[in-house]
Parts: sequence; C-alpha cells; structure tokens
Amino acid sequence: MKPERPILGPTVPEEVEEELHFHLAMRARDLMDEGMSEEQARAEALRRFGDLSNVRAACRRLGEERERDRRRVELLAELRQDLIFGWRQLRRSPGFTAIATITLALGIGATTAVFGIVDAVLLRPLPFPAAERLVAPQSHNLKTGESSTITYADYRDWRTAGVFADVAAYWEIHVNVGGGERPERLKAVQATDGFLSTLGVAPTLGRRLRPEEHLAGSPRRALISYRLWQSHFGGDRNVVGKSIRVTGVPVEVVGVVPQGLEFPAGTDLWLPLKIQPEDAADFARRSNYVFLGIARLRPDRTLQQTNAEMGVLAERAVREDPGARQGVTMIATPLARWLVGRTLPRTLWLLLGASALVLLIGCVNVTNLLLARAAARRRELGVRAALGAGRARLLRQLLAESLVLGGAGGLLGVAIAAAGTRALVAAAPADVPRLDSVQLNLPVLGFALLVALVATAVFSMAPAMRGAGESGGGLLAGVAGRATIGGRRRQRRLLVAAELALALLLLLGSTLLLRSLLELRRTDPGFAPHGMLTFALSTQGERYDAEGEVGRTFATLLERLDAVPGVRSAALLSSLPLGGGGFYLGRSFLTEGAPEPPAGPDQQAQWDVVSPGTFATLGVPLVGGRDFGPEDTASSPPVAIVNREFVRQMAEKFGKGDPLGRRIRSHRDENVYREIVGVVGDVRFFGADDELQPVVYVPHAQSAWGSMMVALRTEGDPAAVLPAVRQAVASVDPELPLDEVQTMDAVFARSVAPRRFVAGLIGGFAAMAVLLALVGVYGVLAYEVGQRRREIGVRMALGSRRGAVVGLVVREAAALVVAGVAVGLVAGLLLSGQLAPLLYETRAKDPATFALVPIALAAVALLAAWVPARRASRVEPIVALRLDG
Amino acid sequence: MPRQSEQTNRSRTRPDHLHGTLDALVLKTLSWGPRHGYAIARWLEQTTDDALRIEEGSLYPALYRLEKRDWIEAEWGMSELGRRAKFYRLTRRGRAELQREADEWQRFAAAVSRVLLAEA
Repeated sequence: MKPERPILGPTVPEEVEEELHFHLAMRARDLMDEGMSEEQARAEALRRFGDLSNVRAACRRLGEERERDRRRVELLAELRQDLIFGWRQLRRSPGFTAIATITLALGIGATTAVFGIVDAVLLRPLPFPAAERLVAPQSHNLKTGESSTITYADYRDWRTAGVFADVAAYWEIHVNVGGGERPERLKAVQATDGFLSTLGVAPTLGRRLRPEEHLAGSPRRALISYRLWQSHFGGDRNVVGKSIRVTGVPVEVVGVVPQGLEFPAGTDLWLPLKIQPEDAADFARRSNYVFLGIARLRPDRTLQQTNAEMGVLAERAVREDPGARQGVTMIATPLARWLVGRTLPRTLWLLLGASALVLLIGCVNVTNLLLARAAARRRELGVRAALGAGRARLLRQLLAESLVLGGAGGLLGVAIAAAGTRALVAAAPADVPRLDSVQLNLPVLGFALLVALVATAVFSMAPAMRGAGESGGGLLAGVAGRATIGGRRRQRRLLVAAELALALLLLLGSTLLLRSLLELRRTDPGFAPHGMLTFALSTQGERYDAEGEVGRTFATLLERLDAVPGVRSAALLSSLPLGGGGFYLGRSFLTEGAPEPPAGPDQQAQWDVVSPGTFATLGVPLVGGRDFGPEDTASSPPVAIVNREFVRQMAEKFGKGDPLGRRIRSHRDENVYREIVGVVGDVRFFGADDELQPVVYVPHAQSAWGSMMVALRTEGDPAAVLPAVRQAVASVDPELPLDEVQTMDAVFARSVAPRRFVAGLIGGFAAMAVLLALVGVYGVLAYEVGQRRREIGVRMALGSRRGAVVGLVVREAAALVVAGVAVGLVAGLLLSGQLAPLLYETRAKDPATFALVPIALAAVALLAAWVPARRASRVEPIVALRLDG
Repeated sequence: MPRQSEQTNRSRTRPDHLHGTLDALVLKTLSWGPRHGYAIARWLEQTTDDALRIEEGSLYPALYRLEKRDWIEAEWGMSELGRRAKFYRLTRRGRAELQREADEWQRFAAAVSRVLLAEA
C-alpha cells in the first residue's frame, strides 16, 4: 500500500527523518555546549545514537502500521456513519423504502426458497460415506437410449469379475407385518449379499446380514428401520435377537438401520434375497430384467473405466444369448443422478432461473426508483460535494444507502424464503426425492446473502455512479440546468424496456406450461376415474401356500366387496392405470407361428392380471369379443384380452388380421399360448401424460398373483365406504392389511401434480414479474410526466387538447413497450426449446401463445402508461407560468 | 498481522524485560507532561544514571510502538529552541497502563525483597 499523505502533517518517512534528525541535532548542540567541536559533537551524537538505519527502518515500519490501523478504524467509523446516515435517509422516505424493500425481498425470498430445494435435491451429497463413488448399474438399450433394470446373471458377472468394490442386486417389495395396532403392509427390500456394505451403512444396533444368511434354507433374519424399531419395539435397546412377524412368519431382527439412511427411501425392512433351487434357472436367464442394482466404484477405477468393463461383459452376454441381449449393454449411473432422474434437474434449474428473473426485474425497478431519487437529490448531493465531500465518499454514501436497502431486503427475503420453502415442499409432487431434507441451512443462507449482495450491486451501480459522477462536474450549476436529463431518461426507459422483455419471457414460458397442463387435464384417461376407491392387498403367509388358495381368497373377497353397501362393483388389477400402483411388468410377445428373435421382431407390452368385470368397473369400453368370465379357470384354455394399441402394434409387426382368435405367447417367461378373446379401449397406463401403451390383460383365475390392487366403483363419496370395506377384507383374512388407500381422483391428480406444480410456480413468478414490470412502466412515466409538467402546461396554453397530450405521452411509452416486447419475443423464441421436454401436446413455439401473449402484455403495459398520461392531460396551462423550472 | 510483526521484531532486537522496562519508563516520563523524544532521552539518562545502558536510538522504536498501541499520542510543536519537534503525551489508556505496570513492579519487588531480605 502506498503511504497516503495525511491531510495535515508529514508522511511517515518524513516524520521519522525529522524526529531523528532533531534528536541528533539537539545532542550535538548539547555536546558542543560541553566543549566539543562541531565535527566531534556530530560524530559523538551518532555514536551514542546506535544503529541509525536500523532504528529508522523500525520506526518507519511501526509508523506505517500505526497509520494503517488508523485508516482502518476511520474507515469502519465512516462506514458505520454512512450506514446510519443511509438508514436515516431511507426513513425519511418510507414509501420508497417499503416498496424497494418488499420488491427485493420477494425476489430474494423466491430465489432462496427455490435454491433450498435445488440444494437438498440436487446439490447436497447423499448421506452415505463417500457417496460420490456410489452408482446404479443399469441395462441400456442402445436403440432407444433408455436405461432400465438389470438381471441377476449380470450382477453375478460383475461380482465374479470384480468390476466394483462392492455390488448388490435388489428389488423392492411389500410385506405384511403384524404386531402393530392393525396389520401393516410395509415397503421392504430384498437384496443379495452386500447391499448395506455397498452403501456403507452401519446399523445403529446389531449388525448387517452375513453372506451365509442369504442362502436358501438359512434362518429368517432381517434388519429393520429406525421407524419400525420405534413403532413395533418401542425403541427397545435389546431388540436384536427378537422377532417380528413378516408375511405371517417370525423373522429374527439382527440390526436397526439408522434414521435418514433408509435406502431406498421409506424402506422399513431389509430382507435377504434367497434363491430357492427350483428358481435358479429363472434367475440365471439373461432376459430376466427384474432387479435394481447398487454398487460402489473400485478405488482404482473411474466411472468411465467401470463402464468400459461392464460393456465388455455385456458383449459376452450378447454372444451367450443373442435373442435376449442383442442391442443391450450395461452402464453405471452415479446414484445421485439416477435418483433424481432426467426431468427433475431441468425443472428445478428452470424454476431457479424463473425466480432469478423475478429478482432481476425487481432489481431493475429499484434501480429506477433510485435513479428518480438521485435526480430529486441532485441539490443535496451538489451541496455536499461543494462542502468538500470527495467523489469516493459520495459514492460510498450512496452505496451504503443501497447496502441498507439490500440488507433489509435480504432479511425480509430470508423470512419469505422460510415460509416459501415450507409452502413449496408441501405443494411439491410426492415423488421428488429427498424433499424431507429441505431446510434453510448454512449454504442456503449463504446463498441468500450472496444473492442480496449481488442484487445490491446490480441495482445500486448505475444510480451511484451517476450520483457521484456528477458531483465533481459542477453539480451546483446543475441545480438549475438540465444538461443530463436526456441521458438519464434514456437510461430509465431502457431499463423499463428490459423489464418488459424479461417479464414477457417468463409469461411466455408459463403460458406454454399452463397450456400443457390444460391439455393434460383434458386428456381422456380411457376410463372414468371419478367415484372410485383403490387400495393394495398382498396375500402372504402359510395359509396361502395351498394350491388355488390365493385365487379362492380373491374370488371370495370380490363377492364380499360387491356386497358392501355403497359399492357398485369391485375389480382386481395387478397394476392400476394412471400409474396408480401395483406391479408394473413389461413382457415381450410373439404371435403364433412368428419366429423368435433375433430371427424376427417381438412385441413389448404391459402385463396386467385382472378379474372378470374389471373393464366394466373402470368404464373401459369393450371394443370386440368378450370380457373374462367364470368360464375362464385354471384348467380352461388360456385366454387374454388386449387393448387397441396392442392390436395396432401387432398388425405392424406380425401382419394384419382379426385379433380375436389369434394366439400370442410371452415367449421369454410364461411361454403359454393365450387366445385373444377380447379387445378393449386404451387407458393411460403410467400417467395422464403417458403415451399409449400396448397392454395384455390376463384373467386372475389363470395367473393367481397374490399382490393385487383393488378398484371399487362407488355410489357416492368413495372414502365413505372405507370402514365397511375394511370389515369385508378382515372377514376374509383378519391379518390382511389394506395399503395405499386412495381415490382414483387422487391418483389422477398425482399423475398431473408435477406439471401442476411447475406451471403453478412459474405462473406465480410470471405474475410477479408482470406486476413488477407494470409498476416499472407506470413509475417511470408518472415520474417523467411530473418532470414535464411545465412543458405540458406550455403545450396546453398553446392550445393542445387533452387528447393530444394523452396521445403524446402514450406514443412515447409505446416505443418503449414495443421495444421491450420485441426483445422478449425474440428471446422467447430462442429459449423456448429448453422447455420442450416439459411440455405436453403443446409446441415449444406454439403460434397462438407467441402471438397473443406479447399483444396482451403490450396492451396492459400501455394501460399502465395511460394512467399517468391522463394525469398529464389534467395539467392546467397556468402551471406553465407558476413553475419556475 | 501488525501484532505478529511486532512480536518478531521484539525478539530480534532486545530481551523482553528490557523492552517492558523502557516502555514503563517512557510512560512514567510522560506522566509529568508532554515532551519530545530528546527530552525523554535526557531524562532517562539523568534519572537512571545510565544504569540501563541502552543506545539512545532504541528509544524511538519504543515511542512508535507505544503510539501505535495508543498509549501515547504525538503532536508537532515548537521546541524550546524554536525548532519543530514531535511532542508526546500520555493518553488515558497509557496512564492506565502505567498504573498497571507500577503495581506489578511493586508486587514483584516486594516479593523479591521478602525472599532476599528474609532473616536466615
């Protein structure tokens, strides 16, 4: 740092030099008084002084340090003074302060709240040790680019070849657990050896499962969740070794998984996957993609190297079974990325961008307010500059004022974010992972601080530079003059045009999303969802081991449910439409006589096991043939009903022809020829926005699955029948729990929820943006009109009519509005492609949206301009004479 | 940062106790009123009978250090011979420091006396 010259007095080196020189001179004089010659005296004085250069250096250094300390203290004092002064200035104009603070707080609050979600869902590492090394192995279809589940055989390959440090295959199941208040159906994981060790989860109590505990015939053992430990064992520290009834049989608890480390989320039980000898061949099949995988990368391998090794093994599998594996490879995806999927990150970043735009528009508004204020304060600043306040000092003062404003906005913004975060989490779709960990933690608060600082810098720079910049150049003269008004006006108008452009961008995006949502709600799901109750049932335990028992139980159950007052009819499905629950199973089919792949194509379709009367209960039209009936039994000829989409694809792959009477088989697994006896309408299978899926329905009587969804068509309120339904189920099996109870309306709503959430949020941001932009247009014009009262008065005095004055102001506003809207439109056209993956039945460059929305925005903006214009026209000509300018 | 460099400097130039003594003596000198560096040097020389045997120059870093610590403050004025000189004055904090050091010395001296002059 260059020594700064103190206003009064010497610099530090000068000070030291003079002081030391004084000492030597005085000493020499005293010595001369004692009788020495001048020369002798000088030499003696130097000798007695010691090492002059050393002393000089030490003094200089200490002196510089002293000055630096002083300057720092002064600076802090000045800053404090500036802040207090700024606060006072702001208090003197409470209206301006309140509007600016609230504008900033809304932007900062929105941005921070959304960032809180981004942080929890996307940024924060998973709670496992070295979680960045965790991956999800997946099968990857080279043709479609889609990734999916894995096979047990591939898992064995990876384990044998040592591709990973640790790896496990698992699937998620539901198990009935007794011992609570009423029987419960809980989420469980059945995994091969190495599941918890891969994750690095150490049990709170007890231990992980040992390898030998995964062998068929070994004693039944499991780990339980913290939640289950509390609810079923009251948090008993001696729970290890005790037993819990799972699927009707006692299972010994060997450990408790810590809270927050449940994987997959919501799991209550971790059971070993035991392969019975009779199932071994099925597990070894290369086409049996029923498992999920979890793995930890080897310390000496990168993700790319690991993927290369998996690719080599996958090629070997293709040679082994080309029919099943042609075009399929295996890849590993980082676990965190796999968990959030593809659209969620895009959606969240989009939301963050939208909230940032609102903040930016808010900043522009505050900038404009400050510019107007700066104009009003030219006198004050001029006087202060004249009294000796330096340019830097004035700049600092203006910045301090902004800092107070930014600080207040930031504080209020954090409060808004706290409330907003809670609201966002409550409104967010239920399947967003890790939402429960959203919190206003240090990184999020740090982000809020950063945002507040950046916002302060953005909104304060232009006005401060202007205010301070003018102070040097004869601002006092400017008190009367108007030299800079033109430039100032241009700047304000540019800012407002920019605001309009940004607001239009948001408005276009939100309109596209809203249109998608409306299209989606208008979508015919293919059945009548209103007035239906659905729930899940799993028959488990020894009482169902007897041949045919599951089928008999469900048949009895259907009869009893049909008899419940308020229930019109009851149906069973292995998987509900609209992604409402159940076991979704895709299988590949061949028609009779068609060659097996790779010699010919096969057809993928969903496999849904249903009871007779299901289509009538749902309201799915029977297009041809017949429904399943009592004539379809375990011993009667195997039959199937297919949907229209299946018929369409079947015609494409295997040739046209009457579908009824054709025989198909699921050649990779069941491998039984089933005769198509009926064709039904299409339902939206995985969700309201799903594309049409081919579906093969088979009768429960011929494929007696134990885990089924029940769908009831009710007379009135579906929830009202629930108690009687519970009783009916209990009368069949008191240990059979009802799970996932919900109305079909709720299922539909849930399948629309992600889009509704995004459209609602972006719509809200767009509304804020438009409101702010309109306030901006209004504010600037109102201010200009106020400034031009004299000019307008002169015009009126010279005979202008009121209409002409309104026209004059509105015309000038129109230029600004058109410029802003045009820029926003171009930007919208350039950026709308980013939205495409989030749209439904709506083009990213939807002509209606891009035509009407800008016009609408321009119209409201002109309306906002018209209000001050009208006021201008009320100026009496007399003011031209009164105002001295 | 400044604190740190002061520490290194201290150990480089002089033993610690001598430093403390010199600082205390300077503060004491100034307790009778403002004076410039040379006057302080003369006073030290006369009252201590050169018992400290310090080089005159080492007084000045001490003065700068005390000023930096805000125990003394300086002002330029006219010396008795009409030359410009830097006059030092005790601050309120300096006076408190002097009191503290005097008390401490008294306790130390009393303790040493009790031991040395104890009857065998």
